[in-house]
Amino acid sequence: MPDPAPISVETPNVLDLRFILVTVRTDFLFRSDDGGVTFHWIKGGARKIEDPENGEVIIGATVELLGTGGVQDTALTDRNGQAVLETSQLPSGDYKIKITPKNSRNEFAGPEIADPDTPPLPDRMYHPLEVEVKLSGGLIEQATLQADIAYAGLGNRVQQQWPPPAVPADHLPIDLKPIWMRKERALLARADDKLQMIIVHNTDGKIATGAINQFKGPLQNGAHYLIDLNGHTIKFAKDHDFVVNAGGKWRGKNPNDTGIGIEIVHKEGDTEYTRQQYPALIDLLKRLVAAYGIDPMRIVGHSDVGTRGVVTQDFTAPDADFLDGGRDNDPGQVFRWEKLEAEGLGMIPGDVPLGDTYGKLFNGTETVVLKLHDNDGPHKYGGKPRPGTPGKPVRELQQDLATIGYSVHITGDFEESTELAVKAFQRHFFSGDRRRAVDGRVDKETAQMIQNVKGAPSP
Amino acid sequence: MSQTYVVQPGDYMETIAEKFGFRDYHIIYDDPNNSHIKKFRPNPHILYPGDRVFIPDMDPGHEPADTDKKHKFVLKAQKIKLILYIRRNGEPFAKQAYKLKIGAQTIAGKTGDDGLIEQPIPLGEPLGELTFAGPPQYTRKLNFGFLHPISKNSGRQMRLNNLGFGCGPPTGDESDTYDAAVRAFQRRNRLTLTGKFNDHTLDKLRSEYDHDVPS
Repeated sequence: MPDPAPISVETPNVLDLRFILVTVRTDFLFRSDDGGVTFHWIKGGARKIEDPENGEVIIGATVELLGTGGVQDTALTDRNGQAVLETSQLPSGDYKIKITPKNSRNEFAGPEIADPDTPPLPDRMYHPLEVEVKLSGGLIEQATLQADIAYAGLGNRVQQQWPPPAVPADHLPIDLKPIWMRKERALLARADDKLQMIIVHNTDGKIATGAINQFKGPLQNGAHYLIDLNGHTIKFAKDHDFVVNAGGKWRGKNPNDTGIGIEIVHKEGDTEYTRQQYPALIDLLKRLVAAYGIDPMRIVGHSDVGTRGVVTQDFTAPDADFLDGGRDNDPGQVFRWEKLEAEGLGMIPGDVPLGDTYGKLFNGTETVVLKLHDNDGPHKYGGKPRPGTPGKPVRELQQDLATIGYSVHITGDFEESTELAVKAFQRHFFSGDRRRAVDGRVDKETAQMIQNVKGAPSP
Repeated sequence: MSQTYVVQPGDYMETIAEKFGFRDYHIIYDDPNNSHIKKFRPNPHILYPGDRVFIPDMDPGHEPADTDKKHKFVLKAQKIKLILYIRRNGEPFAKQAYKLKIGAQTIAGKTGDDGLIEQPIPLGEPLGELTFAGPPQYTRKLNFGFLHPISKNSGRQMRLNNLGFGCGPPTGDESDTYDAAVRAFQRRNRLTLTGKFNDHTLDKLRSEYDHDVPS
């Protein structure tokens, strides 16, 4: 603590109060490009959170002012998330402001926070944060964030400077993202051997607010993880917790029952996922695979397993069958599965010759496309009878899709569920650099890709 | 029997007078044996620890009273005035409600248009706590009588610190941070930037902080 101000009596004195107000809060928008924190420079007083839906203050965080001589001052944030640091008498120069919320951890927001045997986790957890500040006359001339976000999967450091608009400033508002936000709902615990797959989603939103409110909220729908635009990852439920995040089936298993759900903040459309999101996702996936021995082949998209338009049904039932439901499209064709494949994650297409597959329909010079209403019974392929075709190409196709994992009726009849499965397959494997039209038809390219995926060895 | 007293931190003439039973510090301060003190400490309220003060013999007072009766002599508790201009980041901190806690006593008030707090406080109480309700609530500890004379480096450092030109603990030592604070003070007051005290700088500090009261 600073020394008391020496004051004379009976004669005039001047005392110019120099102190910094630090406000620590979480803004659910998460729109900053900073890997975990934002400064908001607001002249004259802290911004109040008018709408609690869009943010929350962080109470009881330890805020320290560190100089070359050690701790110059320390304070706890009050119920408005505010702390006052005394800067009177401090020489101008470089200092650090360290913010350590209650329940701070240096861990990654991953399986490291998932031990099912631990006592109930607190509502929130954060990483501690250090901000380098240049003080002049006890006021902030410049603030620099040296956030070590290696834990967020980027493996590098971001450095950003925010020269405040009103220099020098006496207010340092900090927007600190949590690594853990406990879902406001009692969740069923799953056994270790239940954790068999990982489902990748997008939030279909430009900002994180809606997703955060849903995932931390009391509804059963949710996700275990959210990766924001900057690759910052928040965990909402333990990996062992049962969270409803994807209906449907994959390799005959219910994804809700056996999966860990990862949501990525991304608005559907042609916009790319951000460059920070891939490394964060890859890092999280590797940690999950290592922690639970999940087969990397069982890292799939929501579109691979999910269904749309059936949410009123009990899609948590293990034998629920939604083959006739529409499918969700996320993470979508702009999602670059190839970046995951390069890291040995997800289904990785090999290089398998077509051979005699699918009645050699794709071996000739004639362009044949297997499509809706083709049928092994009447030997109808490409919309017209081809009586000489050997084998049962539609059934073979259905069997291959099922072997990969897609839910499809194996009937020999290319009906709508088959078309949906083909579309889902195309959406996954014709994404990113391999992108082409998703049409639900099996042309030579699609047939070749199905073989490449089916025949690829498990890593 | 006369004696010499060595000034301790927090002492000013009034506290020394009280210590030795004088109601009026002028008896000490104006004593011819203290002419050197008067010369080097033109402000009797601002002394320097280590100063040697001559304490003259006391002329005991007499109060006539009957014997075999109980008498009550009431000595009025002495008060001393605090004159404190409060600023915030260089501007007068005007019309701000404050609470001044001194010992067991808490005084509430409001700063004037110029940020002034003018307030009688108990004599000899060294520590106070000045709190502004805010938001944000802010408390600053005060050490009454601890200001050093402006003729001393430490006194200049204390004044610079109080004015917002932070130069670290007022050790009186020369240092880069001291020079930097002096330079910042010179820059603010459009003086030649030397980083060292000269007559102009000293005059300016005296008028800024002491309102031209000699110290």
